[in-house]
Amino acid sequence: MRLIKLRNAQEELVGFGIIIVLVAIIALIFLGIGLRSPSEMKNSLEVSDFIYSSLSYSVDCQEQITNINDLIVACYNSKGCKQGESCELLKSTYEDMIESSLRIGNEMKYKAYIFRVFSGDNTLVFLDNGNKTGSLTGASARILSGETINVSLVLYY
Amino acid sequence: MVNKKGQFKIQQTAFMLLALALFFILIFVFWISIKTHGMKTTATSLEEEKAILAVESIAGLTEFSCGKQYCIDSDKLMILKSMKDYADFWPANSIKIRKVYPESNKEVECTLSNYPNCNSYTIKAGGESSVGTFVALCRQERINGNSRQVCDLGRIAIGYDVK
Repeated sequence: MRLIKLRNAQEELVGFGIIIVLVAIIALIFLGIGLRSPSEMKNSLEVSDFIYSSLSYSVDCQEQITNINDLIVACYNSKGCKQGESCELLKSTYEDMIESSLRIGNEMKYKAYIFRVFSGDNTLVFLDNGNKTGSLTGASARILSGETINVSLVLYY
Repeated sequence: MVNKKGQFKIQQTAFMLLALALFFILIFVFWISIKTHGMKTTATSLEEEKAILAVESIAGLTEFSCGKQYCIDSDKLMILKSMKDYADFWPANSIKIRKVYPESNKEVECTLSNYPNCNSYTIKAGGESSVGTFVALCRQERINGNSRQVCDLGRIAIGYDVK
């Protein structure tokens, strides 16, 4: 009689264990889906337009360096400007342009950004600001001048 | 006694099955809500992309373009502003271009008397809601006797009626 009771209790425990494992597996699957979604970056047409339009923006550097596109190539080739380093001018121009045109801030549409101008492993300009949490959107553009230089902008919203 | 114990066992199994079924229904509802939210987000972003593509196609029209992609000629805009006959030609309820960088505190509509010291070009007024994207806003300027293209960063917005 005692042996039958013990066996019944064991069966109950096994059933309970199976249910716990089943619930845990399902919860893990949903947690995985929930955590994976926000980190995926959406390609944005608006950000892409921003990058390509900004490349034509006029800068006061040298006779031959009239816009951002030329300035990026000059920065890559370590050429200077009238007022100093081309990379410094590039950095300050983009910093000002991104923050005033895209209006980055906690109460705004975009909360934070990461901006990079790079060629392979060589980073020419790196800018970031704001509270980097939430979903991502962004785009990148390529400038061809002997070497490929990439311009990328990621926004958090 | 045995019959009562059997009934209790059946009852226990039935409750367990009911709880499991409820649990799976909850999971299903949760999954459906995630999927629906995802679909709504995708639909909204697709609508936005479609609208931006429409704006891009307008910005690319010969009447606006400065000859390269993502670029609007502000000298052309000044001429278009004065041509009222063109109002019905544009495939949008309103078209407005604004200089966004360098930034200025107040909006100054461009006229022949203040151009280029202004920041807003209203080609066609109207439309309840608007969608826009970035463009380069370029003009020709004479610097030290040489003609040079000067570009700012602008934003073109087209308006449409909300159905």
